[in-house]
Amino acid sequence: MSDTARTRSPVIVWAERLGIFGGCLSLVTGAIVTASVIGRWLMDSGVPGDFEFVQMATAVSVFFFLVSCQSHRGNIVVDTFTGFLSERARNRLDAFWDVVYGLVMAAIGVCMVEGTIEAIRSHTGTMVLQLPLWPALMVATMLLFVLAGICFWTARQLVKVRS
Amino acid sequence: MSGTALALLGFVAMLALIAARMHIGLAMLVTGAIGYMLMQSPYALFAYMKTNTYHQFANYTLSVIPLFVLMGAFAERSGLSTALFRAASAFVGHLRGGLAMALIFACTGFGAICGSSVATTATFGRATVPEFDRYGYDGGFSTGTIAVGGTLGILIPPSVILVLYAISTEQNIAKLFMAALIPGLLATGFYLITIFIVVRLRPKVAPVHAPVPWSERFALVVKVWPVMLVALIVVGGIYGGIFTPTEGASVGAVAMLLIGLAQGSLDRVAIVGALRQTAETTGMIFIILLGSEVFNAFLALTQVPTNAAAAISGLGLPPYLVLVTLLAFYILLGAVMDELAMLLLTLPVFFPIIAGLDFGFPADEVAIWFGILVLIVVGIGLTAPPIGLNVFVISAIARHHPIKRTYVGVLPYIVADVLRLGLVIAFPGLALWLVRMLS
Repeated sequence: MSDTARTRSPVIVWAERLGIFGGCLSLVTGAIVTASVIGRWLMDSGVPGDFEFVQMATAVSVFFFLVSCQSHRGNIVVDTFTGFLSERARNRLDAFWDVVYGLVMAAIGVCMVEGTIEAIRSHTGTMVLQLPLWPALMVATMLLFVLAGICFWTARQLVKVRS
Repeated sequence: MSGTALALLGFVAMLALIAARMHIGLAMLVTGAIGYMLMQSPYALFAYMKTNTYHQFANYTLSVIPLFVLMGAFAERSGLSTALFRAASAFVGHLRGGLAMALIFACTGFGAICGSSVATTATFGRATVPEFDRYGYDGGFSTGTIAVGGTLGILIPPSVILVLYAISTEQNIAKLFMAALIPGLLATGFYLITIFIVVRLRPKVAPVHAPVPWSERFALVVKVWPVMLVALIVVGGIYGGIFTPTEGASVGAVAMLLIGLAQGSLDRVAIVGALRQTAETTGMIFIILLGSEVFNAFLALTQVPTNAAAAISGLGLPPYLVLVTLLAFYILLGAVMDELAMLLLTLPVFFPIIAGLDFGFPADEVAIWFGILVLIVVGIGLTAPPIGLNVFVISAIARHHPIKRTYVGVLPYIVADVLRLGLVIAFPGLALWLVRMLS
């Protein structure tokens, strides 16, 4: 997959935007925690339940990051033992593993659909802020399916561009 | 099939998948999930995965990772590396080997903001290779120094590797950061001595040049002091117990952004670039974390970690022999495998072994000391042939310098690293003194 081909693709652009959105979420998390630290220091009182927000925002932002990371195939691969293969063969192998990755993420997504439904039914929420858990689970689940789609897309690009 | 046999099969299958180019996180996830299913049932795996992925990522301690990565990304994009290098070279650059020394000083400062060795290597590679070339430094010497200087990104706290060690072994991150400081500064000292010896033996590798006027030196220092103040607040705040590592990372990330905006060194493009970089790096780390979580859940079901620890304790081997063997294994494994994955994969087995041995001081201190030793061998693995990730990073940036020359340039520093490792093994107080003082 050439960089030029990738950067022109709207799929890459949107995957990157999701990653940037996740980064913004992390930054907001950082700002809330900083406000809490300052509040605690100046007024002896931090932002109530800030750690619950941090947990939730971090979890959701990571699912955004996974999408962005896969769109650039940024996961760590050991290529020491496949160096003898031709570039075409390596790309085909990478494409195959991308399909496997997509299937695994979709399978986890299916499991998480069940987990989200259970969270809705049981009204599971956070301890202090009583925030419902299901919206975060739902976003995370949807992003897993997006990640699966991105995996299939990167696999297709690997086969198409270099063949 | 017994649990032990299944665990061994799981290890072999996972390594085979990694060798066949499956990405490391996925290889751990797939083999761990299959193993879990075989040990329990498909329904148990389904129940485990229903919300486990979410809850794994919703761990409060883990939130420190994206925030530290973000802090480093802002520092990198705001040109801190160049500013630090110029400030340090203004003071020592005119000495023989002075630019290399300046690089080591600058990497030490940058390491207090950035917790990644690859990011440190890449940042300083781009910023300093042209300078080294301009002053006629030997290519192998300069790129070798940059590759080694990059390891200071993890050796000087905060360090992403230490955070992962802390999470994996359930240790206190703040104490690990305290323990890493003296060995980290020792690394700086050893690298400076190495440079001094190398340029004494081979003066041609590092020509001297004219000193910078004193007025200019102080002007360059003024440019970097706000950022170094942030580093001091973040690390000092964590050491002093004023805030948790997550709070320290949050304060650091926000402060780096504000300083960048105030100094005009961070524009919209740089901020977006930093956010994108954070997304990619964090995504890459968390998929490995997820894979290791599932694989370790499978290992726990097989009871291999507990049995291995009991078996090795039962052999009655000298604790230091076991320790040195495990560290040597880490160096060998680090030569062919990614350090982060290597740690997450081996710690569930190795850590109980070390924790079960008697080194003559409390178990919690042994855990912290072992973390620092692991950090040092990870640093060696990042530069040692035949792989050495940092060497690959710098050779991708400085393509005009052959990678073989970089490996030659790295060798004297590896000798220094092994000496330092021996010193921290022989004198655990080097890692534990500050922890004992501040706790």
